[in-house]
Amino acid sequence: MTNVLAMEQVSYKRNLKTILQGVDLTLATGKIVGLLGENGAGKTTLMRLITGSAKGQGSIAVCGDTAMAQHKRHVSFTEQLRGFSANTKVERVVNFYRTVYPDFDGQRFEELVTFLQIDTTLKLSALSKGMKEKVIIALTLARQTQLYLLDEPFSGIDSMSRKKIISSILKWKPTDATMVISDHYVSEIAPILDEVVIVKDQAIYAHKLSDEIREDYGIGIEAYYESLYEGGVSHD
Amino acid sequence: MTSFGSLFKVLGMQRFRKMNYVAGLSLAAIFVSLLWSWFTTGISSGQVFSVTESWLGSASMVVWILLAIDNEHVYTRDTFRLIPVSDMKLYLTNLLASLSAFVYFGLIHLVLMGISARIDHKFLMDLTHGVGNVPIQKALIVTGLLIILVLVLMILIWTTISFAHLVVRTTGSFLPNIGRRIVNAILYLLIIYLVVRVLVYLIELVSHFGVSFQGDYSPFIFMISIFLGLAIVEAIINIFLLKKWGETIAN
Repeated sequence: MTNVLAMEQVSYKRNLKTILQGVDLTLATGKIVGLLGENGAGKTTLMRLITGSAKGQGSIAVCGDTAMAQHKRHVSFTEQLRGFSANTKVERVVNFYRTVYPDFDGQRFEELVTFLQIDTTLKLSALSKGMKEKVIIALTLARQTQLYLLDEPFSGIDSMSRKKIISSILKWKPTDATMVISDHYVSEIAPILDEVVIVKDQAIYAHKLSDEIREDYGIGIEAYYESLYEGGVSHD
Repeated sequence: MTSFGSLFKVLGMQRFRKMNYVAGLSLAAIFVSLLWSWFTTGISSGQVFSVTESWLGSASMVVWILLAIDNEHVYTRDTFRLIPVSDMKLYLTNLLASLSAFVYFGLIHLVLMGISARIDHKFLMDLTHGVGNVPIQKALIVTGLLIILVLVLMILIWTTISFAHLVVRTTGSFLPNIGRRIVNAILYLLIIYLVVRVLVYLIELVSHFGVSFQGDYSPFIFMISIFLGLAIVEAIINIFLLKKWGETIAN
């Protein structure tokens, strides 16, 4: 099995404050990985380092490529569409994606639009938080890449929309692609995760297979994650 | 990887749309101003030209600022920075998109100026009659050099703004918050001082030419070369800063 991501000794500081220190992380292809950690642990920073949006030290290879310009080709990230004004229509955003991403699959996007019940004629300002997140998910999944980074796709979203988003992830994730989902609410995504990576104390505190957690500790992912913060399970 | 054509299309289209919008607003303002004059005092000779020029002159300044803002947005928004291209290609295409949009607005300005000059033809002929004896060919060369000088100056100011912006963002990687604020404040003051100095020098140069032009174009060419050289040096530094430390705004 080949690796889609290999991070070695990655560190990141902002205003002289260390956010991440000596991160080593390797992810295999075809997995759904939960990137867990409390608010401010460095989950988003980790994703931003992979995309090149944040600049740190250390080596990051995506699909074997270490050049940042090449990373962007392999990675699809749930960016918050900040480059568009609030009165931009969704269909214009879609045209932007279609133009700049050669791997954007229009057919797949249309299927996602139908499944997630998105109205592309609306302006960004007219979208509710949940609907905007659905648009972002549809745009992200419509690209045919090897690594998908979904940064807290469920924050502030009602349970029905969350279920829809989870279903779309399962339905449209290419089998050979890896999907990293960051979140601090574990319960809803736990059943779909193959692996969990826990960010704590400025580093990767634990990286385990979901089955390994269930078998070795006899508890679910959520209980395992919470126990790390409560000191109930020793980290090896 | 994204082609230059696709990148230019997305960066340029948004700006060209803005140029059309500002041009439309300017036309509406010109029309309303002239209509108001027509109803109140009547339209005097030369008024169409002067009203058109005053509105479009202000609009040119507005579009220049709007384009500078668009330029900077590209460096800090994931929407643009995640496009699979190198930082150099993104930087240069972004600059070219802004310059093209500015030239496009300049052409609209030129067409409207031509129309208004045609309407006030007699007034302008009377006004310029006997003023100076510069041959038409020399006048055209000077006008051409002035246009190039303005465009190069636009690029230089945009690269300077980007330079300041990127340095300010870079300081965040090395300095604590308080130190960063002090460095930023000093940097902004220094840049304001430099911009004012350059503008004063330019105004002096242009007024000197207006008074005593003897057909020597070399000071113009010298200025264009200096500004262009500075812009190129700044662009190289900016690309380096963008690649090494230029982060986007976090989600």
